[in-house]
Amino acid sequence: MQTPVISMANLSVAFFGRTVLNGIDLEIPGNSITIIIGPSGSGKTTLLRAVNRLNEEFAGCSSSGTIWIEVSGTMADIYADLHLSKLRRVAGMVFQSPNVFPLSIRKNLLAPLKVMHSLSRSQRHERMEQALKEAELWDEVCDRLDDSALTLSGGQQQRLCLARALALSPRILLLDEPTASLDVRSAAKIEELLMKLKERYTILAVSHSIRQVKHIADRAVILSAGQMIKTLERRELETPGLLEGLVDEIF
Amino acid sequence: MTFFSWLAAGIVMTAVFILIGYLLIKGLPIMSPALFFGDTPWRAAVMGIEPVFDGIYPAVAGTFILIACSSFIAIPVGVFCGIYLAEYARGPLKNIFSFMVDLLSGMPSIVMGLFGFALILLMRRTLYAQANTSILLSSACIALLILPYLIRMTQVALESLPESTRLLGPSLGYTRWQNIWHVLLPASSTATFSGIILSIGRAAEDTAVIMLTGVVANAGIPRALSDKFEALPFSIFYLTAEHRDELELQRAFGSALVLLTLTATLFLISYCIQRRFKRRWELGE
Amino acid sequence: MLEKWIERVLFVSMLFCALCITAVFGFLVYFSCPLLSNARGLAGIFSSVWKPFIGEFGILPMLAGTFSLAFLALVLACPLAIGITCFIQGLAPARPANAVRSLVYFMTSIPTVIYGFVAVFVLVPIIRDTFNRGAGFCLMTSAITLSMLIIPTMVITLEADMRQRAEEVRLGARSLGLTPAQELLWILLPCSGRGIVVAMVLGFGRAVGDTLVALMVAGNAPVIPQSLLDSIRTLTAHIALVVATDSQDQAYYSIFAAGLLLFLIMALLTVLIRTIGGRFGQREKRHERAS
Repeated sequence: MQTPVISMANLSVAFFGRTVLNGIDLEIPGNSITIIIGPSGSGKTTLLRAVNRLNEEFAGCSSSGTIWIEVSGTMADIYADLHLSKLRRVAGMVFQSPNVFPLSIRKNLLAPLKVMHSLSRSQRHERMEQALKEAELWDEVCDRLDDSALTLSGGQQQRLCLARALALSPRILLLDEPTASLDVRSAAKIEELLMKLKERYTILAVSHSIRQVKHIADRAVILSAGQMIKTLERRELETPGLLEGLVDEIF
Repeated sequence: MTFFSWLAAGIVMTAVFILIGYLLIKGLPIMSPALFFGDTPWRAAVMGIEPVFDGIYPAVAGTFILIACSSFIAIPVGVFCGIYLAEYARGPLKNIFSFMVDLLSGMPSIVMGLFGFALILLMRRTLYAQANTSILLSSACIALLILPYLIRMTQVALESLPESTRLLGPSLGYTRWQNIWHVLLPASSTATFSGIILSIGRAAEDTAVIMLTGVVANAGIPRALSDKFEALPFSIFYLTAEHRDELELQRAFGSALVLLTLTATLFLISYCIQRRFKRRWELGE
Repeated sequence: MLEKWIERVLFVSMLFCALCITAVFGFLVYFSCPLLSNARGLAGIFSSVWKPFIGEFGILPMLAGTFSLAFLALVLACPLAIGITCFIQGLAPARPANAVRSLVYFMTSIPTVIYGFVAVFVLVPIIRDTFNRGAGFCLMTSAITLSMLIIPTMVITLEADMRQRAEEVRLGARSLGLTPAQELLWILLPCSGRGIVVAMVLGFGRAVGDTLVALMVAGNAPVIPQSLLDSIRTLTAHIALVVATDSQDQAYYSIFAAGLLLFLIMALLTVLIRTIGGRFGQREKRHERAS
């Protein structure tokens, strides 16, 4: 494959001494959708959060091993070479339940942009509009940008969270079960959106749904009890029964 | 903004340190048995055999008796009302009662004192011509003052219990009261208890209520509930305004330090209880 | 059977409390009635002259005193309270932030009389010597002291509100690369409008209801203040002074009128807090996913 965008070597993460991830070696190619799948407690979310170092926000976390991310053409060590704020802008995250800020829609997007000091006011507003269009939310909210973000539906809020991450011009999107809290319609919309976004971004997601993996994933990484079991490419995913069989074995 | 917040914190912290520092500097040198008991030997004073004239012991004793009496009245009533509001009251009745508790908690303490004073005036005119202000009246009014704190703290403690704890009793077949008594109250006891400690602190420090309902500058230790009494906060106020010599001023400083120590200790106890409780919760996660 | 009795006992306790507050109101009305029920009395009470020995019982100067003191104390306390809350909530590193927070909580345990006591011996001489006018017991001194008194209340209210919101937005903000300080400035502070208003109303209420600071430090002259260095008397101090001086019957009615005024002001503030505050956060939770 071409140069990977995310590269992990011997990644291990423990919380209060309890090992959650054990010696993970993984390479994620660019402009594709890779989905991590596994039973509850297998460490999927921890793996995702290792990429943007969000695990460190939780007490008792200790990790070893290295992770590199491709930034401006070169691979950077996320601990040594990248500033934490920069890392989290390059690798944007969307959570399982939409966590919009209790502000207006406009401010939800402007707040993180204010942190990027190099932008002028008009540039910030441009980016906001751009991000909302990319998340396919612009048409629905363009005339009520000053309404509270809490008045949006679940699916709209999730797309707002996506727009918020996109506004920072990330390279990678980390999605933690992005459709888990949504109804079928909204979930389908987001899945279609992801298929379009993968042309510009590298998407690493966690999912519980085999259907979702078969529908949109270019690769599936199967995790169990903190260890990587197997990686399946698109061809193998399309083989009927292959994924289901593996999953039955593990769960 | 950052600069301003540091400035604000600095200003207030300086003020507090000046306050505590000043009291310590002026008050610590005065700490001695003479401050408390004057010329009377302390054993005799504590036993109640001899009265104390030039010491603050009567005020200290008065404060303690006041706290004890008002807690005796307020704690059961407050906890009961808190339980009622949290577990039994519903709908418009709950809103009305809740509003009244809020009203009560917003009352300036002087108005509570005025209420007690008015009570005596009314009684003088109608039932009992000899009615007079006393430690009983003060205790009752102080009880009324701290009641809303107790009610609110108990109520909030019960209502903050997680759903899983609340459903434990019913799932075992407990009746509502059994659930409260055996599950909910023990679970929220720490929060309620620290609320009680804070209320006691509030009772100890209040001056306005007792000024109108029975405290005086010199009364010795009250022997009956109908006696007048002395209390630390009032002594401080009185001595500040009316000290006749250096000695009395020193007594004021001594009283201030003793009162501050008392309320600070109560506060620390409450704080430690809350910290222990929180730690137990967090480690259990 | 036991259940029913227990419920009755609890209900009776609650009823007792409700009766008490009603009784307080009732007594205040009953005792101010003679003065308020006739027009002359009403005009007399609301005059701006308090000279009891010649029969003038106007409490307007005291009303002006209460409001000017409370307002000034609020003006001093508000920016400091907001500044300290921001300090605790994100603009300072963990150690100083926690230390300041603990100290602010500790301040709530300091008795009011002690604030007044230290003010008399420390602040009054400073004011007296700096401005060379009056004895130092004035509006300014008492406002400064009172603001120290109400700052902890305001900080605790505001901080609790912010902290709850901070818990909710923390992960989202971190994942976007925001530091705690940025989270405070761009997300928490813009949201805390209502919290600030509630803190201000609470602080104002506390300032209105305070007796000892005003009694010990404000000078107690029953005149409407014209400048910051004037001696003033508040409604609360007025009540304490009149009861202490054992004057004629008419004076007593005036203190009940003062008490009634205080009751009504605080009742109004309580209603205000309930309307705008309404258990923080629950208003917003009602805005949850619409469709």
